Amino acid sequence: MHCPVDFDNVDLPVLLNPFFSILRSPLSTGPIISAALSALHSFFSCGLINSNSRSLDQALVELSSTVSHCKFETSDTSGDEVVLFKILTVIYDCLCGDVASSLGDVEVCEMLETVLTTCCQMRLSGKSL
Amino acid sequence: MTRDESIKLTVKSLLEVVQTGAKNIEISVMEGYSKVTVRQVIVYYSWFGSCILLKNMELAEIEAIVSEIEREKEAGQLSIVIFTPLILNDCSLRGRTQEVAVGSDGCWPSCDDTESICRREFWPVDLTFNTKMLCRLSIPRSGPSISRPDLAMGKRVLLMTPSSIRPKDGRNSCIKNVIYSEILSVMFVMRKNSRWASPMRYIGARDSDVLGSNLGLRISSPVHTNIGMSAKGSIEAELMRNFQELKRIIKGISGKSDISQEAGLILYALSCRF
Repeated sequence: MHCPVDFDNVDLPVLLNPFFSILRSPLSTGPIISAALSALHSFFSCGLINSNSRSLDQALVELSSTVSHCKFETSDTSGDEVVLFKILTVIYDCLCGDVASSLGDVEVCEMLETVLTTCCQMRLSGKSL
Repeated sequence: MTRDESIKLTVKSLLEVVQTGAKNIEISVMEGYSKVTVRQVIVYYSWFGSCILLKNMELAEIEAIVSEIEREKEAGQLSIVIFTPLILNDCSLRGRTQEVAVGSDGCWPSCDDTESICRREFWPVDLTFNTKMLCRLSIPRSGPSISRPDLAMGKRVLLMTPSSIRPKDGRNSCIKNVIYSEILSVMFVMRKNSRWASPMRYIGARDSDVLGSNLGLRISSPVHTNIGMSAKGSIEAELMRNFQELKRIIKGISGKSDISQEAGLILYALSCRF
């Protein structure tokens, strides 16, 4: 079996897919979604997702689609706001980080739409924004 | 033990459990049977003599004792504050022993000499986490003396930053630890939030991995058969299996992972990320 010797030789979607599956899963509750989003944020922070990553474009398409269509069962308002805040943070990492130049128009539109939708939710406290 | 020493010990004990500050402490001293005093206030009345009122210790007295205790504490140890638990993943935490390598000149090792210093010298340190999720390492006074003037005893210094310390085979090892920790973190939350008590759920005796995951047990090897498994159970097992697979993939990538799973889990349970 071929073992990759470096993270640069591994396709980014392979590393991120388990976390995307969590975000897409209908079984995932708020805390689980929150943990998966934290993981994605950490990957941005530690440099795993960078402009030189292999198959970055494909990973970003999946990431934007998954994060934009992320749904979870509502529990308490503050807990839900934490999850929304983490969604916004991951979107911020995408749009304002090194990888921003690799994003396509569709992905940018999707994520901006998510941000605006979140902004317009009147029931939120507004602290996360 | 003298009276003052007793009071000091009491204050020291109370400081462990109350919010910081003398204002949250009230002390009365029982010096003998039916004699609860600290300070007697004698009030004289012009027409029938005087009476004695008993009062608790005054705030100023307690404050003096608190400041004295804090001075002693500061003098006894050097606190080093590190701003990210990821650093511990890299080189400073050695499994369960919780020993941290510190250079003989009092500096934290740079990335180049990490290996040699780790082999050369260990100082036992007290590893604690405070509520702000900073990691504080307290080096006892009995350790080797610190020669550099800016690292004098009692002075709080910030020696490490995330960029200043990286292991030798740096990036791979760091990313590997991050991925491991994140996998553990997500799986931990999944197990904790698993809805095993759902009435819609059917758990068969053969669904070992589903049952195991619901009870918070680790699944040693993923089971690839879905015989007798409910739909929800199979989805959960599938999600777990993805993470097992990812762990297998990153295991083959070079870069040592010198952190135990338990330590990683604790660090991430405690870490406060965005």
